[in-house]
Amino acid sequence: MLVGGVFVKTHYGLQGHIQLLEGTASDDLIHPHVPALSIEQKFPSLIQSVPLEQVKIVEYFPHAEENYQPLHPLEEWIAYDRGFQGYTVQVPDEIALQTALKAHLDQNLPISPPLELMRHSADQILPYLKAWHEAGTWLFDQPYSRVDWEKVPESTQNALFWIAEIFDEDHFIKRLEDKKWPLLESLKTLPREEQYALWMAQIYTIKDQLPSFEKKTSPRMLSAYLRLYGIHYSIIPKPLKEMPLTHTIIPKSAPFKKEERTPAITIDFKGEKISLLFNSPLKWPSKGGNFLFRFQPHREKIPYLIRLHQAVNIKQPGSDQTASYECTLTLIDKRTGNKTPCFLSMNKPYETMDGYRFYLAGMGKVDTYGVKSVQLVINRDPAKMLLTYPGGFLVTLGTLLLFFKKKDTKG
Amino acid sequence: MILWNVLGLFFSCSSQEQPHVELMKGRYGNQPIYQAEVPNHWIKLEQASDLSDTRMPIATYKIGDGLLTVHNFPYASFEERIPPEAQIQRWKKQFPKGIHDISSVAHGGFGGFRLETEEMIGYAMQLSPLIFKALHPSEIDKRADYTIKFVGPVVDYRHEVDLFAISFEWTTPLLYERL
Repeated sequence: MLVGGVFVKTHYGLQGHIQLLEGTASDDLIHPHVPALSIEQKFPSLIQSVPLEQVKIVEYFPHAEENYQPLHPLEEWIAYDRGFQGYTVQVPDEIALQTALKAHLDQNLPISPPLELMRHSADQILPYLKAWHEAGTWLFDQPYSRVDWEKVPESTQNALFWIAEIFDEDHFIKRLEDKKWPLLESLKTLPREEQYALWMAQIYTIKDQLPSFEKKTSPRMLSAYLRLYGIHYSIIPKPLKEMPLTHTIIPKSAPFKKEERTPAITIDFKGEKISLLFNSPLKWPSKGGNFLFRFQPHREKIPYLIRLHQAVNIKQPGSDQTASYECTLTLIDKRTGNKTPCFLSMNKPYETMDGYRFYLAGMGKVDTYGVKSVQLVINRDPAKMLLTYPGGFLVTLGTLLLFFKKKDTKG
Repeated sequence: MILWNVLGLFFSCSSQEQPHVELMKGRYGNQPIYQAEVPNHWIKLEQASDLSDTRMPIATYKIGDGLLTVHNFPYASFEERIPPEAQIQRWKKQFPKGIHDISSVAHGGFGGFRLETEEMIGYAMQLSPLIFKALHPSEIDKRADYTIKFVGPVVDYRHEVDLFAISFEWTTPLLYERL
């Protein structure tokens, strides 16, 4: 009877887990170690159903990893229409800007004179502008590699040198007052940055009358030149760019840890090859998004819809150690509509009349305000009362009766 | 004598009556969005006809000398949401007297804070971001945060108000598979 009970449980029993968040409900039992291929159709009534013969497993890798190939490291995925049109990654501003700048320079299109000075190290232009922006100063002290000032007219060099030498952001007006700047009154009424810009324009206007210097250069001259042409990171329009996401499966040799042994398959669906990693979070679209594929743990519906109301983690008094986990649920029998409130805690499962047992297996916090998720383990042994327990009882009874058996006195 | 006392225990009416489940609508649409356990002696007051102003409560109950109001705050986008801490600070300024006991609470997919003073109990609850993002923008009432505020004799009705607040949830839960 015991062996029969084990046989029935193995073939007809049920064991899996359900994930829930406070405020959510589920009747989806997950069998974590049973892989299955999920196929969803976007418009089941309009598109012909997929005969199973059209889906062929081409390759199976017991151990694999997923590799995503966007243009640069992922920051955020964007799924159009819940993935039906595909997945993209949003590229940060710098990459999009660098790409646009490089395209402009490669075509030898005319650029403003300060950028012409920086062309020889074009990949440094954007980092320089960004570092200047982050420094937060009007002019920038950081030098730029190999700037050839000989390309710049001498009078312009003169003006830039004097701007770089005189400009003092912390004491701007006072410095000009000390130097008895003749156009000071026109500056005082303006906001700070407009004062700087106007003063630089005034210096540039009289560049031919300025005293010349002895071939000195200052790192601040380049930023002054960029300011005169209105070039600064903060005012460059930032294009938004999205790169389509492609992914591949890379087979691996067997890793040591069990949790790293992720299987993968490649299927052939109507001539299209799709590689899928087990339990990947995304469904991959095929045939223009009309079909979605996912290689995932097998799911099964149970006859109860479980609603989680609240999950509580009770701590030991005066410490952060957990004393107990508890949760309040409602079990809704989908067959009859009956609602049964129940309470689960550590080592205190709940069992329904038809043999479904619910255990609280784990709990975690999902946001800063303490909303929690729980994992319930559910099992059902249909032969428990008919075979397993009576069989166990008979074995126990037989063992006890052995102590009272009379010795064989046959001589 | 002892038997009559024991029988009296079994058949006497409790001063704390058994609550019933009451449904509440949100600000838009006619279908109830929320449910909560309401003690029978609470008196539900009539709602305003136009609830589009979030200053109007979606439910008001008279409880003895006190008043309990429920507000919800629908948001069109995730970034507009006001954190529960801001509500708590506002209430602290409205009721500055005495000790302010603040504790964090979470249930039904909402998390936030409970404030208790000498004169009021308030719950400021925000929908979990995971659930907010899983809801469609057209489900604007469901994407709302809510507050429950009781002003009155806190000592007499603390237990009932807390039971109401803990039982306050959506009428139909979100399926976990939508997350």
